[in-house]
Amino acid sequence: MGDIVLAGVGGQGLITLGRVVGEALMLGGYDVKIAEVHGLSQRGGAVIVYVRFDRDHVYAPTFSQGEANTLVALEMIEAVRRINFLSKDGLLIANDLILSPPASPITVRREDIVEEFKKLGIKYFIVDATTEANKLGFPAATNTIMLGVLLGLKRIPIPLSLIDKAIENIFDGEKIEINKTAVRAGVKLSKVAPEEFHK
Amino acid sequence: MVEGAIAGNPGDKKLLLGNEAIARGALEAGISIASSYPGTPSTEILESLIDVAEQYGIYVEWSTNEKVALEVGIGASMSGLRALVTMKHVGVNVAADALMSLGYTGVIGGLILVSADDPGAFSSQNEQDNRIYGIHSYIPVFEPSEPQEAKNMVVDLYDLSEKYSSAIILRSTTRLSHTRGVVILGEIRRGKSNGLFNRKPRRWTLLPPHNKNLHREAVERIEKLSEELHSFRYNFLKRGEDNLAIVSGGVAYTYVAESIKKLGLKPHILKLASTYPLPRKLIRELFDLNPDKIVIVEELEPIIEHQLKVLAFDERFDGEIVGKEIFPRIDELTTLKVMEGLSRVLKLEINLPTPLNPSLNIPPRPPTFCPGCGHRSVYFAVKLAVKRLRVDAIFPNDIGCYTLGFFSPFVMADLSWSMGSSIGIGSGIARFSKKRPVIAFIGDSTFFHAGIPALLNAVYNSYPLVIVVMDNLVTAMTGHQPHPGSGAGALGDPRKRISIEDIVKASGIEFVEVIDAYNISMIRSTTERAIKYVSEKSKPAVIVARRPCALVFARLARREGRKLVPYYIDLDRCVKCGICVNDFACPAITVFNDTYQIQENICIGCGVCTQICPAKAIKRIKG
Repeated sequence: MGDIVLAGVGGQGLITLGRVVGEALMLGGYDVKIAEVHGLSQRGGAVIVYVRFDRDHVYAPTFSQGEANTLVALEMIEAVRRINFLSKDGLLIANDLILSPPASPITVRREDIVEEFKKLGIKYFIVDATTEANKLGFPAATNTIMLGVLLGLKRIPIPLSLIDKAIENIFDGEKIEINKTAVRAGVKLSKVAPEEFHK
Repeated sequence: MVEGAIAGNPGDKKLLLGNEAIARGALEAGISIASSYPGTPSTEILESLIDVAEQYGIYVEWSTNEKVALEVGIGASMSGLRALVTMKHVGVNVAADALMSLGYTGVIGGLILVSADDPGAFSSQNEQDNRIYGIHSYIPVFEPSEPQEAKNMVVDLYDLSEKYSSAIILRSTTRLSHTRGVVILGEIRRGKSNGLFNRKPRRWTLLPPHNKNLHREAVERIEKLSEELHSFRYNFLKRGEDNLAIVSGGVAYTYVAESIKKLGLKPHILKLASTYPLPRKLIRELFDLNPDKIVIVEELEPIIEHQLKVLAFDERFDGEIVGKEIFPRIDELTTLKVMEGLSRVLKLEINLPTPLNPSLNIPPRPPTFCPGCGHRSVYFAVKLAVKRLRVDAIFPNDIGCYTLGFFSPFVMADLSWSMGSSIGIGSGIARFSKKRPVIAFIGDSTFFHAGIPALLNAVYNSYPLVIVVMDNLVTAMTGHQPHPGSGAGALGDPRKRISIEDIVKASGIEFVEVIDAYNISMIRSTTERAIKYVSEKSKPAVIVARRPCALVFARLARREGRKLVPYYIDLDRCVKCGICVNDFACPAITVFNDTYQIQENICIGCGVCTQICPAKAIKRIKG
């Protein structure tokens, strides 16, 4: 049984990330439920996607606070917002990016966020997927790079070949190769133990 | 090659959204027509049928509003065709007039109305429970729990609809509609393409005295269903070992299934797919098991509970029945809420994980207008106009992306009610607002949907109201579905656009101005003139502020290989006044350590910010 929270800002490709993860898990023989957010809240708002999988039947679309094994955050403020979903022995994988909401009254600094993770005593892995995506020339592929990190850290029990198959099922044209490359870049990033792989 | 989400061969396993599963079910049932007005969480049902419509000869339509969508479906059903009509829960309010008559007349071709309810009100003005419409209109209500069940059930419900000559309400909720699950596909049946209208004036023409006969038939239909629905395979009673019974349906059942596993309970389970009417025989069987307690777990209103308690009284069941005194009426359920409720009923001690509780203060992140959105500049300009005239304007707002004008820094939604209400309620306010001008904002799709009758009323009764139509040429909020002003049909086929300004002029309004939504000074000056005109003449004025939705524009540009040239801030000229960030609030403009910057990757190059920068520091990147 695995419960994963995907968090980020509307427009970062969270729903697509959930679809690829879910498709790959289904191809791997798991039952899957993914609860998404559609509509207005996608317009630059805070977005959360629940991914659940099991060898047995998965009934409920969502899980509760403190239950997720893994939190994948495509943005650091959103990592803090959704950290209540993570179980105490879970793993946070965060993209090293801060998107301040426009006209926001509060400014949050990166060091304060990292300090908060330390204070909470959780395992976390911060990775700069956005810079990596820009380096690859696919700025929209931050989400699939994070998928590679998720895979590389063994938070989803499926082989890379099934991720490739899922990408082929979901994407079209040149996006297939772009996303396969991005996933591999993510796997690579997960092997470079960064300073801030905190246990 | 990516095919439509709901395409595929029998036996294929696909990860489908609940909405896609419903659409696939309709495809397997051989529908001939699907009509809808877009609304979260219902939209993807029609969208996924659009992908396969040509291939399977299905007629698909985004109708002007939900009432029309239902009526189109009714007409097809009278002609012997299977019809699917989909809408969000509040859309059923708009369709309710036609729905009530449909309950009396019944159908010929199978007709399913999908009501996508929104417990939790994630994207709606309320949490109304549309199962009540079933009771009100004598139309049976069915609730699937998961995508696979939804797909299968829809196929069977078309047969049931025709067998009992009754329309069906399929009630979905956000957590079914927007949950993906594994679905095994079945055989697709091709629907009939030719209808044959069944002339039955005594049935279709609701006149006295035969409307009373139809009322009687409707009552009898529901009674008959109640006696026979125990054989409907999605209703089942599973015997347990505990002296406890749990009754549930819809998505709530999935939370029950998880909760009893986690709590190690073995209750009798009555899982209901038909929550109106209840399958009487199964209920009797449940009572015969003699449980000490029956616990009813359902989201929102006590629909199952009220019916079950009446049956318990009639059948002299003397055990305890609990429901809404334990489980909240407000908000969606979760596994946690169900576990907590069950443990209270059974007086169990449970250990729930204590969630991590960060102390860091983080900013809220409400949805925002996209970079390049024309609504932002309209609000900015209207605000300037009001400031210059030193008036305390009242801003009735409506339902669409532009409702985000509620949030800081605009704060220009004094009310948002139901579709078209900005003009209707705005009129009522304007009649008595004396010197305070009333400026109503309404979107293009909302104008066509329910704004026109209110507009005619405002003209005919001379309301001093400024109406700003925020026209982005598409139903944007729900994902860019076309409407009569878009110039395209559901399949993207070109159509002749119906002009908003022509409708306004035809109604007799004299002050009608069409302005580019990006032109801040023009909108400002026109709004000032409109406010003066309305106050002098005591008549309505209409401004149509037009710009294609920025998302559509950017997508089209990318597809056509046009480059969107972003802007940048010349830091030598920037005086750090903060207007671009604090008052204009484009997400592409950010400030970090007191340095203002434009995020090139999200700037679409609309250039509107150059109009609002007092230092002329914003410039186009030379490409």
